[in-house]
Amino acid sequence: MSRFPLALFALFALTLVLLGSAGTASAQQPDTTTEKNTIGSVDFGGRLFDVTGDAARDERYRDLRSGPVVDRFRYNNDEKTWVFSAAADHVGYRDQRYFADYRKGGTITASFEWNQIPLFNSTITQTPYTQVSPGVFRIDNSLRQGIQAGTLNLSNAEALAHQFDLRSSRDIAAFHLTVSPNKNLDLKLNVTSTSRKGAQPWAMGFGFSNVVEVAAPLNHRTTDVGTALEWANSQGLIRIGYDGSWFRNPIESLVVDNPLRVTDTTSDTSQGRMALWPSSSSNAINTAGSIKFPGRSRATAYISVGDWKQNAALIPFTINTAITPIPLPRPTAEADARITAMNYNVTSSPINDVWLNARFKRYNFDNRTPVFPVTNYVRTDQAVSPSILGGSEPLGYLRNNLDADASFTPIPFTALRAGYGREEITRTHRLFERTTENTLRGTIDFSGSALFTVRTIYEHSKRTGTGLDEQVLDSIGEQVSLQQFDIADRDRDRVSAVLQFTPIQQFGITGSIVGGNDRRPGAVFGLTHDNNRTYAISLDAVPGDGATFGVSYGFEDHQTVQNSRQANPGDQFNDPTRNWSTNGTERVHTANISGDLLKLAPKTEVHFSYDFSHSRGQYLYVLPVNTTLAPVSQLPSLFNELQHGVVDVRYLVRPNMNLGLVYWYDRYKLQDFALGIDTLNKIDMTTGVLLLDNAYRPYKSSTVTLRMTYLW
Amino acid sequence: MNVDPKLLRLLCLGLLLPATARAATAGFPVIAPVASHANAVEKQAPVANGYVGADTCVTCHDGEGKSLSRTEHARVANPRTPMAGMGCESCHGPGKAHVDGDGDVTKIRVFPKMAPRDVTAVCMSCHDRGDHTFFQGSMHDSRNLSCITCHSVHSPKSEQAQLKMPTQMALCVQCHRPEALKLQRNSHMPVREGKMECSSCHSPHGSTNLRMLKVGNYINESCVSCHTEKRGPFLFEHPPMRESCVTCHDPHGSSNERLLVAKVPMLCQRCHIGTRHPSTIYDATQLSSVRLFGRSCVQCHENIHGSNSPSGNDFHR
Repeated sequence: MSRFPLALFALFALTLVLLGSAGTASAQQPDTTTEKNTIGSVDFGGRLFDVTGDAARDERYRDLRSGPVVDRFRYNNDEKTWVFSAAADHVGYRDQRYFADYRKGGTITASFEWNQIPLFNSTITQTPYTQVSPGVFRIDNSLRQGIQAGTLNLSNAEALAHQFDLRSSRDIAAFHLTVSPNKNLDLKLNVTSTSRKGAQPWAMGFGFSNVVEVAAPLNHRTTDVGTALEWANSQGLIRIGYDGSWFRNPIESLVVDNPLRVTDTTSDTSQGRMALWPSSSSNAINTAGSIKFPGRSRATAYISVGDWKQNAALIPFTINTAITPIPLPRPTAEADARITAMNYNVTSSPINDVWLNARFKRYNFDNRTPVFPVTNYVRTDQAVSPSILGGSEPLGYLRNNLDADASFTPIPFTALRAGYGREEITRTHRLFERTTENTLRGTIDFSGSALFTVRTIYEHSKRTGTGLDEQVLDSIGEQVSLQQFDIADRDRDRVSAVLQFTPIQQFGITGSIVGGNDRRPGAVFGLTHDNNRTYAISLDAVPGDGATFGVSYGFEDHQTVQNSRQANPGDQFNDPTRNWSTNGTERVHTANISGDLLKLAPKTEVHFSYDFSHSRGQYLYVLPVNTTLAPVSQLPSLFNELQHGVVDVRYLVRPNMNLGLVYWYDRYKLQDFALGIDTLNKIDMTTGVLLLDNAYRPYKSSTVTLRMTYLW
Repeated sequence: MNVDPKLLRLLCLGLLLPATARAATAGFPVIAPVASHANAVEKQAPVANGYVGADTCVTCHDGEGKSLSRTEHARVANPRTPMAGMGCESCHGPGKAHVDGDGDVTKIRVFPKMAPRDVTAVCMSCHDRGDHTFFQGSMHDSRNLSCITCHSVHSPKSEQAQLKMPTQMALCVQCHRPEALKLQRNSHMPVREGKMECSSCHSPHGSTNLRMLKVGNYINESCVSCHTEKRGPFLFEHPPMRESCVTCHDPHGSSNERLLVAKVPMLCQRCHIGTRHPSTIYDATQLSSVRLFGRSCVQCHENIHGSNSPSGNDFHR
């Protein structure tokens, strides 16, 4: 925790006095503010941040460090023919943002934004590795020699470990320009450059139960360029455009020392090498058209033809010098996918109260990457293994969607809609070569009354697959009765209802119910059931002049069932007494209370809010009555709770200046066998596991901001 | 001391924000600059064909005229605005019958009383470019939403886009409550920190993608527009990743790390049911194993989104 300097308070107080004096002086001048065309506001002051526990999780996407803050700046110069505006948020901090915008009436619009998004993983991460060059991690050789000789073990690595903050940042610079030479024509240019720098947890495996984590470097950039020429009049529109995207990653491989060995053999390696994200590009041209027809009808068409390419140089099969090199079938990836997308939409309201819509959408991901033939590969840089599939399987798919809807309005503002949708997907290199999903839906939407609004929808879908290739499953050693859940036969029901009731202007209530039920009737193994329910209610009230209150509560219930069979090769593989199931459950309570008291005291306003989220989950293993498996010891239940409270008090020093005190309270609690520190402490790191100690921990923090808001 | 009413309005905009909106803006006040230049509804000479001109309108509707003057709609210098055309009547239609009828509201367009798609048709007579091209037939259109369901021409409360609520989050949550609830989970995108908003991914006006996603033509194209490193194509592809990112991730939020829809290894075990370790029961006796902790299966199968290594068929490398 850093201390809030007293000098900062002094500076703040001095500024307040000076501005207050200036305000008094200016108050004696004639009021000319209505003539102004330049206005602006600035929030500045000082912040004190105190946290106990996991500071990184608390500041995951934000920067709350103590110190002086210019938290918000806005400037607007509005002339008769043009407008310039500028904005800045969190100036100088890791989550800062700057924005500028220029608009000249109907001819030019230009804007620029620079936005930083931090991602803070951990403050307690530690590693004995040293990054000697980007992506190359070395560990002390004497340690490795000792471990290989049996005189040391991995616990000795702890003495070599150094602690560091694990974080990364996404910096986005975006420029947008629209030029309108005349009333009908627009030329658009968008350029965005996004860089990611820092590090992220990454693991290198050296065989079963031998895993090493390192802070893999991030230093890549994506440049996106989009252009469009668009012509429109009252009857229609036509557009042509181009979109290009280039991803550049100079660190395309990761090399990590095996902490257990210092020499290579044909069954063990002293180091591992892994491919990281390869540089790639995407280019697409597109055209769109829209035209009005009589009968309140419109037809819209869109076609895009694109190409994704990735041709990075391939690393060798292994870095293990004891293994005879396997020749690469080709030196570069030569990965290439042609993407064709098209949408056609016709909508019409030929008579009052009737609305018809039909849409066809086609998306073809035509993966033209040549098969990369592999007879033998090197498993985790340690052992030459035969490839079961004989090489790569470039996945491609073609999706055709057809939707048709008809809406009828029997009474004003009440739309009854019935619809049908059909999706056909044809794939290469997947279990089902083809799936078809038919969906029926009905909606009732009532929105015309000040008293209440109702929106409901019910959908029933049925997905079936054809061309099931069980041989593929058999060849890779999977149960042939498995149907991968994302493409398996599925019956789905979904219902959603939202009711907004406003009996009087000062009081409103909103309730919503959402339910979903997925069943996979043909699946013996894998995910068979997935049910969810959400209930939410919120109340908003304005009990008196200058006071508003809001309360909301939501409850979510999610349940899943998935089946498996624990087996070694041989008889066990077909033994149903070795079946087991997992019943997953999660229930989440979310609540919010908020209020504004604008006239609690003279010139004083109070705002408050409190957010609460509490999740409890369980994965419960279930064995059949005739099981031959050993009794299970159930996993501990999961739990996490987030609290965020805000009290914001403002005192109006002058009409254009207020002094404020903001207090934030944040708290996070958790019990999680997969993320928590308890599990991390149980892991035996003496045999072959060397982790970064990147775990979730509870935190509690308070943030106090003393600030002034000044407008001119 | 005389106080500039515009400055007062600025203060009010900042101070009257509901707490939900403040939460979305990280607890700091939203004091939205609005056009301070007096884009007053300019006087126009009455014209033929039933039009009376804006100066006639504001004799009764002074409040609406003033509120409009603070918005882009009133910018006469822009030939695409209503004020550069027929003024108030560009949107509300010819007003002569309304005036002659002593303010008869049946003789003029009163948008809240119009059928939603009729409202949309008026707005789209100008707002027909970009994403708006795809509004008709979109999910919002099919649910009978009109432009004024979300936007306010005369009384906007947001800093941008003339929304009826101070922030996108406060607006969208009114109907999309389940998604908003998920944003409160411990694994979430930086929406509640104010670094993203609903429109970072979605285009409420319509799109060429599914689920009104703003970028691309399919779900994955939207995701990899930011997570470009996962675009590939790769030498070895993990099929569910190539099919759809949302097979494994819930972009709105999750209690599991990395927005996963279930914990690993349970998530992986929904598809991988073979022999040995993929179909092993990982119960409490395995808590000392690395196979339950953190990234679990992904500790070894690290390149789960796809591998460019010749030895990457199991995504180990």
